Amino acid sequence: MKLFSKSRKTLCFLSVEMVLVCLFPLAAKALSPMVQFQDLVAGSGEAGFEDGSFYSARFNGPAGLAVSDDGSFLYVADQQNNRIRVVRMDDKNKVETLAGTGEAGMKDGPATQAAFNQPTALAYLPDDTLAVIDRGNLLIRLIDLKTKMVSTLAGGGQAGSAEGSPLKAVFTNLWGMTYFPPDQSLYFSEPSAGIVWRLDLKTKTLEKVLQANSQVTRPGAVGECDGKIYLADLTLPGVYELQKTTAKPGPTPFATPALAPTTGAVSLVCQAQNVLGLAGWSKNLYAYQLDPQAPILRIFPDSAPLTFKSVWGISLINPNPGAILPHFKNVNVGDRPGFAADPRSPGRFFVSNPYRGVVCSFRDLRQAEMDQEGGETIVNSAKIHDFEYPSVKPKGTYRILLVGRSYIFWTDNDHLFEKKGLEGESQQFMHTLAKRLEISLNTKAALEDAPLHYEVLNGGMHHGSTNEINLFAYYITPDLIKKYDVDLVLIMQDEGFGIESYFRAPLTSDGIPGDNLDPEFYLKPNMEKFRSGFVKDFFDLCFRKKLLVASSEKVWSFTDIDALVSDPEVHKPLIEMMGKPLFLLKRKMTSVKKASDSPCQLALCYFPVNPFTSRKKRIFWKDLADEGKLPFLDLSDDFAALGYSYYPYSGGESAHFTVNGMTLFSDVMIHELVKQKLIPFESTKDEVGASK
Amino acid sequence: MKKLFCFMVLLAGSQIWARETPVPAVTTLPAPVTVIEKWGVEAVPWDAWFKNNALITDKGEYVHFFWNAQDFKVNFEVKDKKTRLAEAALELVKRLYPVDAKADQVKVDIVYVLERDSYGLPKWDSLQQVAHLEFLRSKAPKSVKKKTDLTAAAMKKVFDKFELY
Repeated sequence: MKLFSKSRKTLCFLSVEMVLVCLFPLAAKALSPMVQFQDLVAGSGEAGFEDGSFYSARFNGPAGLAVSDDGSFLYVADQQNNRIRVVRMDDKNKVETLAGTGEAGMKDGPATQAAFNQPTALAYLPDDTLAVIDRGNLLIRLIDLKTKMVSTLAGGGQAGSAEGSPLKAVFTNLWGMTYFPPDQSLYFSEPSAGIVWRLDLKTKTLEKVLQANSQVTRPGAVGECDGKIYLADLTLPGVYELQKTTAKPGPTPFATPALAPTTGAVSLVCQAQNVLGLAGWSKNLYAYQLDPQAPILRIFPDSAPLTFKSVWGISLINPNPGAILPHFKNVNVGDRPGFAADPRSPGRFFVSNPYRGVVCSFRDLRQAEMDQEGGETIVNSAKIHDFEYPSVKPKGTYRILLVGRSYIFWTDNDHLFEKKGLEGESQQFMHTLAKRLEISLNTKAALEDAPLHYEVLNGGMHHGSTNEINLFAYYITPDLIKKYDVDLVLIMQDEGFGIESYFRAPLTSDGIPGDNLDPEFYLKPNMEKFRSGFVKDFFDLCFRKKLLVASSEKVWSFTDIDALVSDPEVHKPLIEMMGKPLFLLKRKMTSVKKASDSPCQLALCYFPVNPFTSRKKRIFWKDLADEGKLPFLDLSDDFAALGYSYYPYSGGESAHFTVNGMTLFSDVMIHELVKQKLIPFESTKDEVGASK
Repeated sequence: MKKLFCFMVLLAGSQIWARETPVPAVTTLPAPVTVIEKWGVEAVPWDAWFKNNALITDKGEYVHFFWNAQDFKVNFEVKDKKTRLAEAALELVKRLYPVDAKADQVKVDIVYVLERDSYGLPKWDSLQQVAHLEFLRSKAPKSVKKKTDLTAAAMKKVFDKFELY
């Protein structure tokens, strides 16, 4: 008798699943939020009300956002839930309720008992209080974040009251709000009255700073940047700077803009359409505008729309069909999405999408500039092929710098694009080993609930015709460590061996070739370049052993690398010669002053592109690492074991890895980096689905 | 037979893998070259020709000038090559002599670097020397306008050394 038929087995399997679901109905997976380019900060995307993990929490029409000065709390005006929510940025973006019962109403007092009616805009104030535009009640409310008490700051007076006392004011509607540190005031807009108000928080007095202005008839978004107030009309184009005026108008009745005299002045700073929000950091100002092709405009310093691409390099903005970022999708005229800068990560912003019930983030990494254009390689301000990462490292971030030849950044992937006629798209920065490693590390960290974020910088060598990675590393690395506060430098050593630099520039006092080509030196015959010393002795030895051949008076090359690295007489001087730049670099790194005091580690990673390669080269590089007391990552075995299956190599004309080969490469590297504890990586999980 | 076939396949595979110095496939096109129909010092866009192609090193006792004329080669491979190279050397020194350099003596190497890599950088091992000149700035003519300004005799007076390769 058959005990289990095929259908019975299926039934049993389903039953086990059902039992598991019944036993652990709320056993949420422990995941950490990602911080890549465009990320989810909090919200399941389903309208409702639920506190909890960042991916399961629910909002209903999240609008205004504000961030505490230290960046650890992100406050959300949860409009349709009539609540103020808080995202704990240092606790895996866990969502909690700060204030509001959920019932629409007006009640001051303890935060959990207080009532709001459609809170829409927020401003974090330096004394650890939070100002709230209570749209339905036409009030400015104040939450004391220490005592968790709610009070009313402005509004609620009688019609016809004059400016002066905030609690006597009557507003017809309220829109944007910002805190302005220079005069310790809150600026907020009243579009239907055409007014921008200034509420002095020291003196608790209210005054109009703009009224009946012909350029900004209905002021909406208000923002602050570099000691200036900026604003935009709800429907008319343009972002304006609010001009300071000394003439103070006399008392003016509230809610009678048609009769009001003109107050204040503005000056146009940029053309933008339907601006919904303004946010700034340092001297950089950004506008959130209702333009599906350019939702974020960087106004200062250079007036340019931000480019949004997926990590795979695909454009996420129209006209790419159906690919508009959820950050901005469905947002329309009159909506009040939140828009705030992250104080601890320059260039990172938070936005809320009331329609999709989410709070997201994006980073201005100037991605568009990083693509290959017309065959020319574009580098960033530090002259590396990578994004403009901020010099200030975001909290909890571990930065790795990869230095290597073209194997680490060039991919053969025309086969993926040629049928579509998109060969020009084939070299994307996201295909580089650095970016693959970054994505994979962050994914692993998120899925394993490890409290770290990784950024991997691509220090790919752009001297295409030289092989000397160590020398390149010696010259470029110290500045990069300093600029980007790097934690780990990985020298990515392939099988290539080069000595060309010795013939291009005289030796420095350290005994290594200079960084820049000395043409006059180069034009001499090689034989005349070294009269005596270690390098001459080494070359003489190699010639004597027929390991070096001169194909012309200026071109010398090794004949057989395997023989070279395994020759017992040559082995030691070769290690000294090849290793010298790295050993010097290691010493130099100890004196590099970084923003953080954490030391920067140097390690050597050997990867054979050719899995059929001999073991002699790996032994050589291992000996070199040992000589310099450098941690050594050997990927030879991994590549030999997996290389046949994955075949990462393109086999094409340019002899590099494929895009998928880079993924294998990064997977293998992560395995070795974690195994050797070269990077901090500690999962907080003890069991599947549970956090410690 | 089967073993031999497998060996051949493996050997071919290992040859492909064994390439030592891969160079990215994208090639950079050289800058468009202007052929100067009617040669004259004033007709040549010298600044554009020298831009990104010249390296100047202050050696203290003399200043060394290095110019890769590969992109403009067609203008020099002519009958009066020597005169044109002399004019180029004089213009190079006149326009790019370092502000803080002091030496009167200058040495000029004009070369053709026949190939560039995919980053647009010269491949130095494809370098071909064209001319080597040495002279004192103080003896150089202020301007060369007429053909007769650089006769063989005049050149002998100006250049202490003029080697054509």
